[in-house]
Amino acid sequence: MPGWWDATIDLGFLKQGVSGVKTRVQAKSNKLAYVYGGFGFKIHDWMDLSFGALLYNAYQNTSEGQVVSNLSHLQDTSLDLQYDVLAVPVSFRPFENLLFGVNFRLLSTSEDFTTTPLDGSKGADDSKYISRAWI
Amino acid sequence: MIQNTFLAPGYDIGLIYKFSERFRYSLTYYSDVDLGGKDEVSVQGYTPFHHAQLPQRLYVGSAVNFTENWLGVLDVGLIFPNSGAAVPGTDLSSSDDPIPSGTSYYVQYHAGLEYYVVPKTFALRIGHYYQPSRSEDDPDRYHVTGGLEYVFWYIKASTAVDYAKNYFNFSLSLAPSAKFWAAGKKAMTGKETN
Repeated sequence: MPGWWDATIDLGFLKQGVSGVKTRVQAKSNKLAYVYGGFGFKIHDWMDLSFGALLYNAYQNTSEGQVVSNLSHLQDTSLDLQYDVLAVPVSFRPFENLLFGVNFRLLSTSEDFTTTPLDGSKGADDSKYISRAWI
Repeated sequence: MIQNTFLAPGYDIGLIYKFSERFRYSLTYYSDVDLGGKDEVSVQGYTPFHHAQLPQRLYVGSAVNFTENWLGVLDVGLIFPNSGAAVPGTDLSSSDDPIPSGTSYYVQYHAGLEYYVVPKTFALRIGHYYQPSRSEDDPDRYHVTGGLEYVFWYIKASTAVDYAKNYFNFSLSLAPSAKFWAAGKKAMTGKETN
């Protein structure tokens, strides 16, 4: 049975949406996977605006062997096959009890994981891991 | 290693309505995102994506505070069909015989319970979610999740597990606590926050 793990560290200065900075570092299976950074503003009492960007992505900076390891984790996590490169969430609070948000994203996916078996082994069943994705 | 990276825009729209101190409801829409074209997405003769596309998704959610210590959540999602999506056959070395994927609507659900053993300090969580298969030859998956969260000083530490047949994931998270953010805001603005 696969047993991969994630570790996430959020660092920041001031709460997002109150003109602050926020960074997320996420590691997967002993490898630094990606680093997100962002900052936010409170435009009005009823409106927040934030920007987030992918600062570092190990999937694009690893040898093939590391990619296999990273993808071992990804094989069953459909939405992890893609990731946000850029995110701009905007939220409004037109009424006290109602929060409305829009998030514009630039998404990316890499073809690396298709060049090697997804669990690092050989076998015809590897393709089923691909089919778990939203493709 | 051959590498191609695809970029595509997408957007989400969400609403959260706080009906009362006890009940909250949400509605979220995710746009579809087309990340790859058709047969031009080919690596060394192998066509991994016949059409890589994130489908449109619509989620309705609710959260109920049963008591001060107990919280329950239920989300139901509708996943829309993809147009022309397919995955390769069982032979990874060949692009022949693609299997249709995401040809119809799928319903997804998630339910969870949270219990604060010590209010605002120590919480236990348990949940369940259903992950429908998008492909005919792949079984649906039923997940059981669990976790705990502990807040000490300015740090919020949490851990979670996610288990299903042929799947296991474990996560750790460290983040600044609400006390940290309140102290930061007070330092910057001189105002107290809740």
